[in-house]
Amino acid sequence: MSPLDDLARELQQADTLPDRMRILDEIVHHVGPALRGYLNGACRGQPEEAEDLYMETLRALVLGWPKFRSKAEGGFRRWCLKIARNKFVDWLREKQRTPVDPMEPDELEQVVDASAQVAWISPGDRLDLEYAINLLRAAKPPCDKYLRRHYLEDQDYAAMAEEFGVPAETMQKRTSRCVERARALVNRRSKPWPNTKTKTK
Amino acid sequence: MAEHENEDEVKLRKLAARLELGWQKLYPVRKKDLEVVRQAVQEQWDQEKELAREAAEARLARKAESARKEASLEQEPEQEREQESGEEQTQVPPEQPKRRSPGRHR
Repeated sequence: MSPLDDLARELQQADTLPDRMRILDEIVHHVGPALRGYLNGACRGQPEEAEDLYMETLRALVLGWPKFRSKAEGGFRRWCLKIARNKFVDWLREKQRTPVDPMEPDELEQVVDASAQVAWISPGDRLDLEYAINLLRAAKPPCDKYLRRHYLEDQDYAAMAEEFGVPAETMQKRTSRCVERARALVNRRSKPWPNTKTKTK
Repeated sequence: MAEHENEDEVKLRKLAARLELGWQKLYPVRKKDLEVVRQAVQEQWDQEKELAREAAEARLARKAESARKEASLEQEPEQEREQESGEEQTQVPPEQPKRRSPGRHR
């Protein structure tokens, strides 16, 4: 089980206020940056809105944890991301904005570059990461959504099935086909994608 | 084909792991994030305690009510007995039938 899943279990057994505070502090240290990253990517160029949504997400996380039930590996992180996503979708509806998907490839490259300051990226890994970003670039709707949901937001097929209104098995097949199609498009392309930074460090 | 798919999946997951690291760098946890969390935890805690207190008061009230009912049921038979014994003492003896005088019957 991931550290977050362990913390979630510990939280459900915590029966004193100091324990709850300590565990939720740790949870925020683990998942907070990802939630902020997701919402900043989603709200694109509106950091104040992203900030408000992040604060709402934190509150919802604290007030909603008693209802968290999943025992699946990575379940708690997925649940937290789902809260952030729901807040974002509610905000879109309220502002009557056209739905956009967070984490555009260019933004992903910036985040990957930032990660190099935390842990070195080997040349081999750099190529793999660029390839993965190109798969997302190549994926046409709704494949881009499927790949982001499953691989970047770590949503399982059951949750995706609920969102897209199909059985989980169908969701799995669709996602696999999307990976195939994106791969074919990436391999077919002879020139680099626009705005791609080709780094060799 | 399956092998290629697995490789692609591995690379996508590698990307996801890198994004986590990148976000840790770009969006470190701030004091105000933790303050929001602690405030919400305190609110939730206070609410839970309030609900527990109300539930305990409601239980005590129900217990007191059922004790009162039991006590009043026990008193009723005693009162009935007291009433009955009171009635015997003040009871009027039944009237004796009147005797006819010998000369008066038709």
